[in-house]
Amino acid sequence: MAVAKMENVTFVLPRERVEEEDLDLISSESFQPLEISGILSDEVTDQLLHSQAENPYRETYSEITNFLKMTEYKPPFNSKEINVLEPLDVEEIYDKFKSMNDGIRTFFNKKNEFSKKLVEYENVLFHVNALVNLNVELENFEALERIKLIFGRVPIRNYDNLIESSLNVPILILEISRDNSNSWIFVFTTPDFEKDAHDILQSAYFEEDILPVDYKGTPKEIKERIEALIELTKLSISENDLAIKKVLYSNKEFIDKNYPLILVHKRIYDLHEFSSSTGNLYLLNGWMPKKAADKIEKNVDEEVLMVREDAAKVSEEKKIDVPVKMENRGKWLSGFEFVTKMFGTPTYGEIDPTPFVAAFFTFMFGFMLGDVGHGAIIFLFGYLMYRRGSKQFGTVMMSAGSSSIFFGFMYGSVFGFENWIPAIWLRPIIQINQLMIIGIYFGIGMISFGMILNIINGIKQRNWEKAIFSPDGVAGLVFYWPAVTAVSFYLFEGKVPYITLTIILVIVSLVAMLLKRPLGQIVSGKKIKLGEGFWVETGFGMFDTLIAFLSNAISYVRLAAFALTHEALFMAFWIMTLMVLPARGGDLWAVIIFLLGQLVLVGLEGLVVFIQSLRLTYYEFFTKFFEAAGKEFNPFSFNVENKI
Amino acid sequence: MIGFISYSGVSSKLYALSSEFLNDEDYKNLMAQSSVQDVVRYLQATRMYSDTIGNMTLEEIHRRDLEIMLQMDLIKDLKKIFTFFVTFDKDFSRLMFQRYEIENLKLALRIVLIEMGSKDNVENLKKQFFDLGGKASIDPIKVATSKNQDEILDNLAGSPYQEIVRNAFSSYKNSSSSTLIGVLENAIDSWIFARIISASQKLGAKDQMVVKTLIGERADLTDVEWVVRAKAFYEIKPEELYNSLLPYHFRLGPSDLHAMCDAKGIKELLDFLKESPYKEIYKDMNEETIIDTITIQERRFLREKSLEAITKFGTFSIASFFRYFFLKEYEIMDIISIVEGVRYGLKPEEIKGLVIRKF
Repeated sequence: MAVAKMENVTFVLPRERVEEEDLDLISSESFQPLEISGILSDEVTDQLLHSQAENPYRETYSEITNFLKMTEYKPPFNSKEINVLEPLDVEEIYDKFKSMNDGIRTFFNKKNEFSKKLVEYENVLFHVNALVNLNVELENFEALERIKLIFGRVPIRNYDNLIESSLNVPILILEISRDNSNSWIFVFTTPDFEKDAHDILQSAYFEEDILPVDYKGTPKEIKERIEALIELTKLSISENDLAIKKVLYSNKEFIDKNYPLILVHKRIYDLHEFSSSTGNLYLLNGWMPKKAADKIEKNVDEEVLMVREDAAKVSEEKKIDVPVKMENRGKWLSGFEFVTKMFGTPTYGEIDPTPFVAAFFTFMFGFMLGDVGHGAIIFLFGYLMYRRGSKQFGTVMMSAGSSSIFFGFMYGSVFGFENWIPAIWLRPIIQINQLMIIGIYFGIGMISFGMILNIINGIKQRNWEKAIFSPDGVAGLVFYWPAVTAVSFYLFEGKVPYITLTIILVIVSLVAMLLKRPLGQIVSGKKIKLGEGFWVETGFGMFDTLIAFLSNAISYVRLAAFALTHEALFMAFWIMTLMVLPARGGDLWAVIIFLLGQLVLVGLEGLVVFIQSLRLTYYEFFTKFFEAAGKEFNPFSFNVENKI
Repeated sequence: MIGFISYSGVSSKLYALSSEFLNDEDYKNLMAQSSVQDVVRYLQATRMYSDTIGNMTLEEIHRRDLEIMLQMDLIKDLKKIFTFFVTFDKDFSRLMFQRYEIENLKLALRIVLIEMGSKDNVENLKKQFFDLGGKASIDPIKVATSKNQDEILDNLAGSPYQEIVRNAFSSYKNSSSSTLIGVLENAIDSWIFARIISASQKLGAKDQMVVKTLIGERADLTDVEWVVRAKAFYEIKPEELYNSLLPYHFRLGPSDLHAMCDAKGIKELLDFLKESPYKEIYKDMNEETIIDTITIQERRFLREKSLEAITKFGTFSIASFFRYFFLKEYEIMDIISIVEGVRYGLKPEEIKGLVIRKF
């Protein structure tokens, strides 16, 4: 449960241990480096040399990436098989890749060129096709004496103006087709007007496209010529591709062996860039989860000094944020991390609300949509999501589905039918009041729980104003519980016991909330400073708080409301189904309406209930205690796309 | 009703912002200042511009710098306003920023093609462009430091401008750089124009009408002014002139445009204009005065139209946005005119003739 305990770790290591140690750190995927100057005092940092050496593997690595990009190949990579101490001739690898790159670059460029041409030819073919379909005898364009033909395109925005402007001159424009930005046209004009026609066309941003083949012959022959050209181009592309592949496969062993080596060395140096040296010793600082640090410490060599400090302490002294790694055991709980992360990452030292989210969300979903059949469908949907990649969302949906099935048995509802199985607990449509009261008291419980979590957070952070005097702290609870008890007794029994005590508690807590800032300052031993507009702010704040206590609790009525909606919606569709049944062809219509109804019930309600459960968690529950201002832990790994 | 829902927030925001426009008193005071520094100092104290130019150093103010700063103030407003457009079409709002991006692009193209200004000082270069932040789709500095046409196209890759510029380069491949600049600017302008009109089709019926009217009137007058200048200074075939017009018009139909393009000389053109839907603008002009007064008169007309926009189309439409946006544009133009006037020592009465706002 909760946020993983972090430590700030400093490694002090001699030069010859750097590679191995860095490799261990990167492989463990649980080390986030930090500039050491942020941790040590200035006097110390001034005397340190920042490791500024140029990464000796960078050039080689970029050659390799170029090579891989051109060949579209991805070598296998397994960091465990790599021995960093094995001597490595970087120069040689660099030279080899460079010469391979030089060898294939011409092929690659040619391949690209031909691919571009291919697109062009296919475009032209498309337009010539249009010409063929025109069914006009345009045999031998060049020899035409009376008519000149120009082929090309204008931007669509200029097309209308071009048509308008050429009304009074001997130009005929025939539009063949359009793409997103251009309109492809054939322009017919007389030979003596040709020059003027070109000027006019140019003013409409006309681009002449010259056919890549001879104009001679019928359109059909031209078409065949272009088709042959396209085939030829395709051949040239694959020819060049083969040449590239040949280089790749004749050197495959070399590439597979050296790519991982260079990648590992490059990343080690990338990490090394974070370290500083005293001349002989190197210092590398960063964040590590405590467990990972324990593991690393066991394997740490004697020559390496590992200094571990509590993250919270470092963070407080140096005013830097600790990255947060959420740690929840088991697939079920970690699935709900995604619900928490959608809201925000907890701050270090704050309680990770994921387990509570898992419990409350699951409960509320089932409570609102309790149906054995629909629950099963949602579960199945979740399972499919789980299989198809979205593991976390799948987990959430599966647990929502299971809860829905459970409440389905409680309510005795299967696909909306109330009479197939007996209700174990209650029937929502009949026991409406009972359901609403349960909903509200559940809400009161959830809100109080949020306040308790807020108190714990406040105590952990030594923030007394937050823990004791705020409306979400002890003062809030002291106000909330007597008030709730009093109202409950009044509603159910008609009289309120211990009325004086209740009133005293309520008034005392109200005053405490009103004066939370000065009181908090007194307790933490600071000077009282009210700040500008304190009274106005506090007054409105109080008003808001009182309203919020009431409205937050009432918000939970929706739990009952959606449970009711389920039955009501089903009834609506069921009645429609029964209505069409006696009509001619009614059987078919009945089936269609029934299935449609089921789809709406499970799809729409599933969505709405999902959103409502999220909303109750985020708005009513999280706002009580969850600051969510943390930054996620982002360990250094072999994945180069990873920013650090 | 839909308008009421989508525009209630943004209209009140715009209404509040509108109260910060300079008033007649401000104009009078500005025109009476004795130096450019004083004008800027006065503006620094206004609520409208204090945020942006409040920290501007008063020594060595360049007119262009001031203009960019004032425009940046407008861009800042745009950013602010669009956060209030909750239900607004994203495509359309992006276009409003692209209007400034194309200014960046035009300047960058100028720098490359006719080697305007020095490219070496990136910091100086940066100051000349509008900073659109995350709304930008090209890096103007990169474009401005390209060495040739191919590099320009590479640096425009992925943006909608690449195709426009490529098309212009390819259709005018044998033209001189100075012609090319005009050709490019024209192509870019008509592109954004066509985009605004086509994007407006995704808006509601009333908003479409607003965009078509307000933008269409601007287009009509822009083209009238261009045809007048073309007739006065260049020899252009009527067909070519027609092709260089914007792709959308509001009150001027094809027959009007033909009449304008085919007119032989300014006199014939002016006679046509005096009968056109825009006759009130041109009624007092003659052949001599038209070149000097056409710009200011047209702007005054358009400003009046923007002022009326709300009464005409109602508060809960995109008219409220265009009203604010255009009025501020004109106000910025006026400030620049005043700055120029003050610098050349004109009297307030003389400057009055140069500003768009009517007194």
